[in-house]
Amino acid sequence: MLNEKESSNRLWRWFGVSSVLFLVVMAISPLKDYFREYRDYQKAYADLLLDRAGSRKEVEEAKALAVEIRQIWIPDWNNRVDRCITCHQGVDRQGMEDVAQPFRSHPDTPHSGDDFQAFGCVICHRGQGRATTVADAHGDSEDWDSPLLPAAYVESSCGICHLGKVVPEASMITEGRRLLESSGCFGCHDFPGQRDWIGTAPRLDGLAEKTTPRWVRAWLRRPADWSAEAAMPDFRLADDEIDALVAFLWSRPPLNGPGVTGIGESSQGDYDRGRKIFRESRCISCHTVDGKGNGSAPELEKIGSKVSRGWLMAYLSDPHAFQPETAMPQFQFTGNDVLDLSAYMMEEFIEFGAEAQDDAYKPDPRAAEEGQKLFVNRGCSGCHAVQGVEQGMRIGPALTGIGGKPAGMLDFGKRDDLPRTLPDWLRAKIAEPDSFRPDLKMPRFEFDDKDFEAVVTALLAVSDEEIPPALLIRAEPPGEPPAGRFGRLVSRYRCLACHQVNGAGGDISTAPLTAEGSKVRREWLEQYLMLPTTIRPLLTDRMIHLRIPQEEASFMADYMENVYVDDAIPELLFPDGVPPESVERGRKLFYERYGCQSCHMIDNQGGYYGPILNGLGARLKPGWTFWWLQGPQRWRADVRCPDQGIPTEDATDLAGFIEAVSNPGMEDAP
Amino acid sequence: MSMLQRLTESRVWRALVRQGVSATNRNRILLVMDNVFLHLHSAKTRSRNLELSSTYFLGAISLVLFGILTLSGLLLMLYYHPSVPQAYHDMKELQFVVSNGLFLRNIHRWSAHAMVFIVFLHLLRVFYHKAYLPPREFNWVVGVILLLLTLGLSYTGYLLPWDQLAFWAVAVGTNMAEATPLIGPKLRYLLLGGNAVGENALLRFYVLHCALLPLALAMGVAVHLWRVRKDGGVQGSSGRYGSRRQVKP
Repeated sequence: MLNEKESSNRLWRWFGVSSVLFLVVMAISPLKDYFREYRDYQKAYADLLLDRAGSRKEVEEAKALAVEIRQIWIPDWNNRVDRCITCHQGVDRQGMEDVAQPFRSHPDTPHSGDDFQAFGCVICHRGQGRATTVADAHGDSEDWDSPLLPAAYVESSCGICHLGKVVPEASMITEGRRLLESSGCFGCHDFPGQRDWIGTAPRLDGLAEKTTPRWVRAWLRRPADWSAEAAMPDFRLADDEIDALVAFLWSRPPLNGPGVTGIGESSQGDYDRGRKIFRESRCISCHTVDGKGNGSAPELEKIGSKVSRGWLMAYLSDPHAFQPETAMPQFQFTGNDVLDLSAYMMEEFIEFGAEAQDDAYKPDPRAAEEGQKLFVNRGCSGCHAVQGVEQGMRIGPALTGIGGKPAGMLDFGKRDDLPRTLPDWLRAKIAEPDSFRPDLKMPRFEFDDKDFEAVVTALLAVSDEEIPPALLIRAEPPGEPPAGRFGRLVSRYRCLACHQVNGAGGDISTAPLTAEGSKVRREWLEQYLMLPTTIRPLLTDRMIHLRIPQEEASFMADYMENVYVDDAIPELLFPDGVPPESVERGRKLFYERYGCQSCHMIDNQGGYYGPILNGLGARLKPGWTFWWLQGPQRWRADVRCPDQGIPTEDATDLAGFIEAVSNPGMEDAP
Repeated sequence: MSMLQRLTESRVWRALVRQGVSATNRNRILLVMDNVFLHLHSAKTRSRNLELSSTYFLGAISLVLFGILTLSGLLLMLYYHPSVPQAYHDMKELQFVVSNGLFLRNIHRWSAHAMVFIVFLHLLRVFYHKAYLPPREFNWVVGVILLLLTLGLSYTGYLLPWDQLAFWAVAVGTNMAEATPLIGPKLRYLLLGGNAVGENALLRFYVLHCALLPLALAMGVAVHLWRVRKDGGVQGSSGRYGSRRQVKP
């Protein structure tokens, strides 16, 4: 039985060896468990706190820090758990701004403290919140779709909750959203909330009356070559495609709308008077000429080489008949004004060295048919309306959820050089769409680095992340537009291109029009509407001269005086006139305490940064001055007048002083 | 009286350890007969039967793996919620927070893979040994049922992490079930508790994986082992492969 014993012994030996091996294996897991990565970070953090401790209490606090997983848990929001603070322990601690990551304090943002507890970290920074190792938490592993967002694009996360066009204190995404709209992205791409978008691109009917095939060809070859501010991107059209499109556009029937019937060439007109009107009307408040102008309207430098004289005259007489959506107001020009103005513009604003006009152009019907197909296929109809083609076809892929797309689902085409990340892909796709595949229809945009960053930021915000309704900040629906006769006038003169009423309108003026009645005196307003005077000489975007007739100006002034009143602003600050002691005290405050003279001029003394105060009393009501002084940034954050925290009684005396020096002899009475 | 002596003679000790360690036949038989876990086991085995080459221990290894799976599975159940999307979150919790959680998950997963593999080998070994012939044809059928249960456990467990792999594997698998003649669509509906792989499917697979299939497997194993005792295992107590002796199961 020796054999049996031997085999039994062998079996026992095997059993022993494998048991020991098994024990060793079993020990690996608990050891790995104990020596987790975050443990070292937490110890380093405790050491750091000890180093920096300035008091006994802080030393004890540092010593008492336990090594443990820390997390922000949001049970009501899909059970979100963010454990970033396990290592990033200094985020909510002040005074750690100078230490290296992962312990640095969170930079100052509009959200902090309690908000961190409410949102967690991952909703803004992406990555993997539940992870407790660096690589996994930062989402660097293959199986995590949402890697850490590069800091350059972090504002995109603001846009996940802030759905409005303007995101407060986040200029990058605000600019990006503006660019998305102004570049016509929604014309081709279905975009959340923009299904029914119609841009401000001009209708293309009657193009033959407006311009020449030569100009359209040059424009289509590359719009930016014609005008650096062109909103239209470069569609990379071949010459035969351009010919086909021109043939199509020239085969459209002529316009027969109101105000267009008078189109015809004219060689008359007074150049000098036209120049005077151009300047008086302050066309350069919006249109760029010689680098001046705020760029909100097309530049006019070469307009004489683009449009026909007849079209220009018809347009100046009634722009809204051509473009109902345009921001251009209806100036009350007379027939002679238009004649002179157009004479000046046609002669002054021409492209030097342009070829002669090619008048005798006849579109080839077959090319026109080809052009119509192109017009649809290349997405022209996404932005431009023209007879015979349905507007609003979205030829590009929908962008819903684009900001959360995993990199693995993106088509990188021929781009082997790109890092496999969503921001890099988006940027390259906009910058060089044809580098992915030569037949992509996406046009090329004239963006600079900053623009690319802004647009990518705005796109990254298009997420399908589930956000609790309570956290969503929707775009505020614009309030009621002005109604009735006043509303019609506001629309005709496009007041809302610059001024705000009930949250709608431009952002050029310092306060909404709805406070205008509390702000200025009626008589002044009526005069100003008829003939605007310069209030801030430093500004380019000054009030334009619309030539409003007296009857309309009077009506509008009455309306604003009575309706556009802000109840918070005192109507009568000094019912019995300004008391002399108030003027005296105000003078001291003005010159000695608040140093207002460094920006404002009184009797030719002082700075010229702000409005001159002589004569100001004829414009502003003292109640407004009083209210303004206590918070110039009430309506706009970028108002230059500093908020000096002026208390009520100082503001009263200052308003009294300003009233006395700027409006001598005028009673503060209704 | 030493402490040890007092301990070994105490009533509690004697209730737990009824037989001593003396290697007499009688003691061995008593040891096995008195033990609820061992009474399926033979009291006495020929040393030849223990040779590696007869079974390669494949059945025993399968049993041990089933034990490991049951134990680790029970522990995993403490952390797992069969709900969407918490199921996937729980995988992350196991990986990043639960002590030895990743080890627990990995041992469960690898043991499961190993069990399928070993059970297959076990089947092959029995097949090439002609051990499915009478008198062991009943146990062969029981074995095939155990194989199917093992595969069922493996498949239902696959969905539970609720990741992409799981989701699509089950989507494909249940679409294959749908191709069954006549009852296909009903079968798929029954499996998924609906028409799509969703929360209901997750719950059904969870119940199958953690309750129905393991219980069925445990009972099947008991019958299997019982028949091994009665009819003989792979090399058989009859000593002859392929004996024609008829034994009622």
